Amino acid sequence: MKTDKAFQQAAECMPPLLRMQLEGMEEQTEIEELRLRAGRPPGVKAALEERVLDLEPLSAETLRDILSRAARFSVHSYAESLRYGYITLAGGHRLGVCGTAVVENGEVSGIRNISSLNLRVARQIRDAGEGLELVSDGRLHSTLLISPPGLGKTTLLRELIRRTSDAGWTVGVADERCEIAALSEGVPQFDVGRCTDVIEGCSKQQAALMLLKTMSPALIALDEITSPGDVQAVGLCAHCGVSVVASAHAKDLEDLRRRALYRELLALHLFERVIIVSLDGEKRTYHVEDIKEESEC
Amino acid sequence: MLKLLGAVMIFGSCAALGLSARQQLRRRVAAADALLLALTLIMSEIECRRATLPDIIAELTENENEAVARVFLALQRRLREQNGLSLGYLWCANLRDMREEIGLGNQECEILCQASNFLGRYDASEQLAGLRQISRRLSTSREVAAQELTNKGNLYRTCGIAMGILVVLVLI
Repeated sequence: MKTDKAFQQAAECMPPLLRMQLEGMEEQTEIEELRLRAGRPPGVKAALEERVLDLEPLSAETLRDILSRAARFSVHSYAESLRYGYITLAGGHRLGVCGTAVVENGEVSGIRNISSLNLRVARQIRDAGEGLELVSDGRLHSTLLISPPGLGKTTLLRELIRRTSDAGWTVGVADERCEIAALSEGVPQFDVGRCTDVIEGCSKQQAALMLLKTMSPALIALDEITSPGDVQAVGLCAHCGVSVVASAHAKDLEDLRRRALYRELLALHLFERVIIVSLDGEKRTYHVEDIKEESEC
Repeated sequence: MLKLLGAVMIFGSCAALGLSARQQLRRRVAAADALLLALTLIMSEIECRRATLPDIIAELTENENEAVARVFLALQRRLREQNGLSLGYLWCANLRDMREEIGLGNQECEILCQASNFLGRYDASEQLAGLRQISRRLSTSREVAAQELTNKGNLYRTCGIAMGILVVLVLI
């Protein structure tokens, strides 16, 4: 049996029996997500295909226990991220939470009656996007990475950051969800390069401002542009002459342009290239498109 | 001389029995006070700082109240063992194991164990509501124990001494 360190680390938040069963699984290196639903046996997702495991169905109480363990028995300390439906575990793994939303003053303040959990295993894949670089002709090119969820945008982003940083460029990372570097006691758990500064746990806008003011980065990296505030963070960098590498959810460029938020993003005329991640069978493919001229029109 | 020595020893033992019964009641009240203090600190840490429970427990291990420090030091040790057991289970097991050592009453121990149903599992407001309820119940139980100390404490001591005198008189 081939064990996988990242998978085993992610499975640490499971109750003892379930953890033991999961740790005994074959093909741990292939597993990208653990899907846990109340009243159903656990499932695993690999290469975008979900498979139900031959285990006992999980109760809502077990899901509550898993969330509590993932939150280091302190769910209250993760209230802010739970408002957005997730918590980040040590090692950068992400536990997505579904259930009945608690709404206060028109805003989601938490989740009760947990119905399902999705544990995404974070891994460093050093050959992700091999050959892709943010630097060409001696300068950095602002780049946007797009793909549907689960195709490895964050993994690719991390590798591009590492390569750029190791090439000697100062990189600032606005790691809102603590997934890119996964700091532990200030030390990144993933290799993000030798010239990288990370701010995590605050909004991208705040992080970008702090990085710009204090760390003089040549490149700022932002994961998952999903709100107007995130677009403003990119705008902030654009106006300061700093290059940006960011990721967004979209199937392709056409899909990206269809959405008002991303039209606003493209209207900043900052991005020169788009890297589209797609799946060819079980293999991820990367397609680069030049958009600088188009966005300047 | 030997008779006198025997009489003193019998009197001493009987008085000690009475005093020890009184001391137990006193320790029960002190332990309830200590854990009420711990609950207050846990609530304020959750409410004001949203601190994680392992951090709160670490802080409580350094509390100047000896009973609080001992209980939470033992809990911290259990947590560090990382044996996969939940905090709720460890919380209960620790309180039950430490109960006699710190002199906590059985009733107070069971009240505190009920906190394991929600501690660290829900959001701050739900936990605080639960902890306030536990705190109220523990206060009531502490009042009963304090009343018992006032009513029975002196009685036990007096009974012990009286029994000592009686036995000595009978034997002499």
